[in-house]
Amino acid sequence: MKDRMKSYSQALWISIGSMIILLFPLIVSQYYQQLGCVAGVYAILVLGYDFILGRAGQFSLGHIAFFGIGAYTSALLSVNWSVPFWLALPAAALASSLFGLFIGVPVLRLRGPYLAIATLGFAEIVRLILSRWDRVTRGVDGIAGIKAPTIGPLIFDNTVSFYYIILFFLVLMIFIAERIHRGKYGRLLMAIRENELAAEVMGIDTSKGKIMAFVLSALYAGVAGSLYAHLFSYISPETFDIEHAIVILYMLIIGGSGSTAGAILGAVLLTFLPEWLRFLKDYYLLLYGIGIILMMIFMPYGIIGLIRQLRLQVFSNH
Amino acid sequence: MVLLFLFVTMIATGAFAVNTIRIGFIVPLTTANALIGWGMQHGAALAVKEINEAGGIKGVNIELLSEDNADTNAIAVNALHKVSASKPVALILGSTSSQTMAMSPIIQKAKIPTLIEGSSPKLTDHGNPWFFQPRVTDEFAAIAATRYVVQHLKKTKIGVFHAAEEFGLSTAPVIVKTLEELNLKPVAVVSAPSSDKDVSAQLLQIKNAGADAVIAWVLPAPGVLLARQMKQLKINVPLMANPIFAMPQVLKLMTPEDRADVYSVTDTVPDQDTDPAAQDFVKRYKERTGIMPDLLAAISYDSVKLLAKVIREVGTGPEAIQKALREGKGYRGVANTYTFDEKGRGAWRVMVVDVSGAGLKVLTTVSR
Amino acid sequence: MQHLGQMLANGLAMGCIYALVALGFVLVYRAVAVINFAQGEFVMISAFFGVMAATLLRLPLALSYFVVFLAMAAFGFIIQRLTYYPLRGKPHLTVVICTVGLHIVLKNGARLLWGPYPLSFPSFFRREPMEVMGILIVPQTLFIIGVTGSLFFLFYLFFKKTMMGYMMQATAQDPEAARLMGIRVDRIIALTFVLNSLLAGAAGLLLGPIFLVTTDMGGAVLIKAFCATIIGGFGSVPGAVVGGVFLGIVEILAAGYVSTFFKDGLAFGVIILILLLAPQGIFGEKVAERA
Repeated sequence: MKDRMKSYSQALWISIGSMIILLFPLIVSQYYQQLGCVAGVYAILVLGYDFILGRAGQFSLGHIAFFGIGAYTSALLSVNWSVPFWLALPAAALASSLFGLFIGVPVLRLRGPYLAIATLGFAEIVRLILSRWDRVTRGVDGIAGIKAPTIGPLIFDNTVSFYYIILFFLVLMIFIAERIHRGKYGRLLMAIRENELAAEVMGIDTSKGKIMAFVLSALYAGVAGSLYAHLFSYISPETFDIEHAIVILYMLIIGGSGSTAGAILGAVLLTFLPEWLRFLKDYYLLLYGIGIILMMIFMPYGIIGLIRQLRLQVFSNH
Repeated sequence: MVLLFLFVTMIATGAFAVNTIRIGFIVPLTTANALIGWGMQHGAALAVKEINEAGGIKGVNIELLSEDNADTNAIAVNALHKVSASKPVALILGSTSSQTMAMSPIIQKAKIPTLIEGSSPKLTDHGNPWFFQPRVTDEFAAIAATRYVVQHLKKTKIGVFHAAEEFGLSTAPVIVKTLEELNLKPVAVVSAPSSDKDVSAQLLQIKNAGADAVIAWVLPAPGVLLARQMKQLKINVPLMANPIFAMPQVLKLMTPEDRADVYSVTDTVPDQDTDPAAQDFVKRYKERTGIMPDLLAAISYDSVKLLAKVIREVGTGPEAIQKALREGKGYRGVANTYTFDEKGRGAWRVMVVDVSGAGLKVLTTVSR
Repeated sequence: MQHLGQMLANGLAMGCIYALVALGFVLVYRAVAVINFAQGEFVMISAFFGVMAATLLRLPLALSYFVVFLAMAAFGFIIQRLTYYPLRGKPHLTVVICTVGLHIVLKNGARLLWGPYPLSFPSFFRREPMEVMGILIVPQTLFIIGVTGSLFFLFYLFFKKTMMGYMMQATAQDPEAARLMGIRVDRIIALTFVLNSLLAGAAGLLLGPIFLVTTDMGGAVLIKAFCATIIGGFGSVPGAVVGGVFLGIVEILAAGYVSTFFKDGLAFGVIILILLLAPQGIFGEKVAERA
């Protein structure tokens, strides 16, 4: 009886949650619609980051570069050759994945801080190329006039309609992620994260595993990048710098790494939070930093980690 | 529970209790560029205060909706959306060109007359009919600066030093082109990222090339270092730069040795303007903030006053405001006299100042 | 040739400063396996303390330096107590994120406290360059090289020749064993942070007079410190020093002879090359496995 009640109430919460998410853009102002869109894009991005940082346990700081590669690929295809969004996006995902492969193979041999610095360096170099290679990337001017997606006569160029496109892709990417994590490959990544040496001894090809994780994360970033470019219809290199790389790191850690819900939660929270805290004006960043420190002291496994801990305690009390 | 509460607040969109005329004001408040945003804020706020104290616009007060753009595209766009929810009649933007460009498509769609304080010519080149630029473009200023160095200082071997960021990268070619028009070529063109503390390598290149003058387009802090390191390397030639050396807070950091033989091209030097309105502005700004106003504070002040004048004449309709701005001629502000052309560029006079003395000396004025 | 000499002198000075910061950085890493992302801010804070001491309190310059050292020691201790201490034993990633948070707090706290405008730091010496063997050197440059050289020597004596130094080395190698030997590990770790703070502090005081003091000067310093440690071999103490000097010189030569355009990318390019080809740097231990 209790079990049935529990599953009923779960179903109820899920239904309400889904309704809210589906109807969200229709009831709020354009300001919040935009935030919803941005949150969705970053959710996909951070979900990808989870593959390499959360699940495979490799300290990569270069994820933002794949975001940039995806965004610029999609943007250039759209602006230079009028490639429609539905082709540009997969192209962007492919481009990012290829870079993920090229960079991953040499770099993933490194561990810990060396990997972090190498990937950080890679991200910086990508940003510099985006800023300086004027002929191709338009340099610091950025790329304007990126075309909105169309399906037949419908043009998705306002925040409400674009929200649904982002939502579609988010659901798709979550689905794919969950399939992967629950499958053999997911367990392989966990083994690598927990103890890479032991995994190798057990016969797991850890290099291949890590590279796959890296490529997957790059693929997700490519998708997110394309969505970002078409959402804003303008991109410039400054969106893909180290400051932003740190933000997506926070999103994953605060949400809870190694968890799909955590990745999404972190992305959504850290998109909305700066806006809610606008009233703090000058003091906003200072409090943000203090918040991070406190969170690390009291909630080192992120919000999802905390929830899991609480759940365990509740269960153990029964 | 918490989520539900937050959700409800999201639905409640901006319902304004009091009837005001709202002007959006998006500037950097929390980053390194807060330096610039601070002055802009005070200039605008002073103008709003004066207007409201004199009875507002036909009895209605002006309200400045100011939001931080955090020097980031996405946050600037968020700020724009937030401000738009309150239906402003106009916007004033104090952002870098990257953020302004990110906001452009939205502004164009929403049809809000916007005054931009950026100096990049690209901002009014890309065809947004709602953008108006009351700031002298880098292009115009750079041409004036180059011509002065060649024609008045009689220098022929120019070394060009520019910031590795957007405004530097786009202005360097303008300087080179102007030199070509005067039948000259630069002897060296070097660049440095603004975070670079040591530019001796770049300066040595210029020295090696035998330059007899340096034209620089950089940010304030690197500019001071540049002036200083030039003297340290015994490159004792004139240094001409963008408005940075005419800014009061930058001058404070320089010793008389640093300032020797240094020039700047600037929209205006507020305290040297003999116009009583300008003098008045300087006085009241000093009372309010304790320091001298800089160029951007003056332009913010002018922007608010200009908008007020236009609204007083034609009301708050966006098309009417846009038309009035486009067709108006010679609005005399404290930073400049504005006449907007079909691209939206409105400021066409710069001053060349000699910074080496105790005060700034205006050498000449260059108008279109 | 004259220009080469000039560039070498400047490069050496900058390199020495990078080396100071990198040294502190490596000490912290060796002691607690933490990458201190807030390292640049220690340098920045010390420069601001210096400005305050010299201009606000109007202390004579030498006394200001001394006061700042005391302040930085205290500062290092307090920061360590508030942020590292509660996190000891937690996963590395957690602590690293915490240092990133600290970086944000210090940077913005400084901006709120001291304002966004750059400040000027008074110098011991005149700005006039002297001519030494045909090279123009500003006295401050020689001062930097002299001071950092002495500091490295003093540090070497401390680390290798004193009891404290031995205890630090032991703690870094194996904290458990050190504890069993009766070493107060917590105290040694606190000492490490204080030492780091002093080294970064010295760098700040040396940088201050040549450049302007701004709240965002920490960022560039941090990246250079990273590079220096990688070049020298991450985790190696002499490596940090050699790496720093190497970086300073290579940077300026590249800017002078190759291209000013890519000077900032150069540092990263070098790191990546080293990491891919010879990740152990000049002195370091093996860090990558064969695929």
